[in-house]
Amino acid sequence: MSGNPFDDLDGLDDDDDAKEAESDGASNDTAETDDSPVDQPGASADEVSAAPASETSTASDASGGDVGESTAEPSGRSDGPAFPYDDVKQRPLYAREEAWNAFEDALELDVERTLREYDVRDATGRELHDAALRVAAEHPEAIAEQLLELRGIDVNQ
Amino acid sequence: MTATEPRAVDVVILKGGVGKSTISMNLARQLADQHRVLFADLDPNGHATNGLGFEDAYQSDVNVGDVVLDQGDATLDDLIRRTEFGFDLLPSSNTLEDVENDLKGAIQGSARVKSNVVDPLLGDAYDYIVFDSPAYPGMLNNNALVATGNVLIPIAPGSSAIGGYKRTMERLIAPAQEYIDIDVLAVVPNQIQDRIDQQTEARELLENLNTADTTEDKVPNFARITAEEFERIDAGELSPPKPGIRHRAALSRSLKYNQPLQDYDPDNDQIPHFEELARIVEDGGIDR
Repeated sequence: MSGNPFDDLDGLDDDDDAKEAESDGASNDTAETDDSPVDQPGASADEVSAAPASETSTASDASGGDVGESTAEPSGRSDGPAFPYDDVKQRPLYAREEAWNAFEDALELDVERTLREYDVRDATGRELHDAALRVAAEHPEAIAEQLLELRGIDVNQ
Repeated sequence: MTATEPRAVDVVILKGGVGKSTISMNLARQLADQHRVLFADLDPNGHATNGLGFEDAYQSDVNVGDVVLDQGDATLDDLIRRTEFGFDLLPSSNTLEDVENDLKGAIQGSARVKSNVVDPLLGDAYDYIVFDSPAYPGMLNNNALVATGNVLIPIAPGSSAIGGYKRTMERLIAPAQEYIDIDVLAVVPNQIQDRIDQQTEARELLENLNTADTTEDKVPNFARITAEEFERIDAGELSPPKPGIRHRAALSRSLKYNQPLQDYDPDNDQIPHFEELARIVEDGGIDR
């Protein structure tokens, strides 16, 4: 890496000099942040660069370099949602609170965990609901069984 | 309400998944209760822009790059969208990564957002401008920093977010401080889940932020626990508080439903924390 990435500010107008002088006091405490507190705990940055893959987040954490960082979010995933908002239509679904909670927890805890393994972190509500409906449509027998079960009818008879 | 001192603030950390978009967007939402606010999404992933339902703007041919690079006839007025939540949005774009490259070749490329976006708007059309920045170093991040001079750094438990914090200080903020003043308004613990009366990652993060000279003044009151309080917690004399910002399903879920937390779940127990962040931005720092 060569030079300071902010070197292009060298010729910046007086505006900033004035601002700099004005808030000089404030700059002092932030200037010291090099020896930041997070140096102290065991899990310091050194450890991060030595064994960074320990977190499931993304492999690109490992590089610590500019290129690696730049791929932290975009890499390995498609360009955002699979279809635009305009494509969807909102319809009511009638369900009990407990069923909603179980559904949302499943999306939140299990589905998103899997998505993250593929670096997808921006799944939209519409994509999740669309996918959930498609899965349901492919498993009509499970839906019927669930309903019968809720009515107390033994499907194995 | 006393006179407002206009201020731009950059929500930044060189690490993805720490909550930049969530915090910056909800901060903008709380500031908008009393002020004219622009939320500027400079993150090419467009998480916040899409999360607010502006996919069309994200994919538009006309985008912030045109204004920043002085290309074509587009003006800020053409780009800025009104949201339902009291603040306006300068949308991200799926071409922002190209803008990143073009800025490298531009004269005073680090100051383009300052000269072409913030200077014309701040104190005039808006009282506050909140930036959501990329998770990686580059010209967009440099621009947000130069344009604001104020940063709010989210941080989460765990060594990888802590590494991101260090990178942010060393690679972004320290080099910029050779040329301009950068005020760290606050370091904001986020995604806290664990107990703090046991040796958890949350405890480690909060204890270090709260006891180190360089950061103890930067911890918002909702996460402030003094060394003495930690001792009393360990001795069983003080019941452990629940410092924020805590992990809440509603918080991550709200963006999927195109809403800030205040609108998605008005009774959520973390909303006061975002209100405190808004006061910190208004005051230009933490008031104890």
